[in-house]
Amino acid sequence: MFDAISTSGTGLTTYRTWLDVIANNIANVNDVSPTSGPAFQAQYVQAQPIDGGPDGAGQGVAVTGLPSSSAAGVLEYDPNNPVADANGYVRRPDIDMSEQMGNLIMAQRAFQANANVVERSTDIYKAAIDIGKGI
Amino acid sequence: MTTPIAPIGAISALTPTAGVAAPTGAGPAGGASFADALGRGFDAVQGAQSNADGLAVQAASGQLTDPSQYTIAATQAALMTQMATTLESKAVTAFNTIMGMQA
Repeated sequence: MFDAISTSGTGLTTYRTWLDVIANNIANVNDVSPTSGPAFQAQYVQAQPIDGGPDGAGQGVAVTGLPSSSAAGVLEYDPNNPVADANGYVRRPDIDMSEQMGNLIMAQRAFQANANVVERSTDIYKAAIDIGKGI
Repeated sequence: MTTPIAPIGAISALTPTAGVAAPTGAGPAGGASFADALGRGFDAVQGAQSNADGLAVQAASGQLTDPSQYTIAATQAALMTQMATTLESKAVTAFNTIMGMQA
């Protein structure tokens, strides 16, 4: 019952996960690793629709996985770095900051849109219930 | 001299009238009664409320990772409760209307 609310709830959960992932990517954007190990791997959200509602309408979206970017990262010449190898190279994560900020705005706006759907559909369901309150 | 009072005989069983046929189709005995339906509705409300309560406890104890899960469950529980109370008050109004016909 009240499917629109739980459907938007799956959207809220998905976009909150995306926000978490972006926050983690930005937090690690300046990580430096030795060339012998992997660089920090940025995470991405993989999602797919949930279908099969009682009236044929889909039932929202679900996170199916958090794939990571390549472990190679970007090699940078920084001989003064304590973790630099014999040739003076270190690994930095291959994260595009402007892409992350763009994703952050998309995740924020999509979260707000889903929250608005919850609010609106609550009002609609209340209107349906209020029909029975008259007379 | 007193004479004993004759005992009252047992009431004979009612015999169905020949003219009136038994009602067929959806009657109170045929389908689920309104009380059953209302009871199932209240069971569903109870489930939604206890689900929201469990999430509220998780939120208070810091175990809830997704705050929207709780707010969604609480909204659904509130809507289900409103609907159940509306149906219940409509049923009571209908009952009172019918009972008022004999006055």
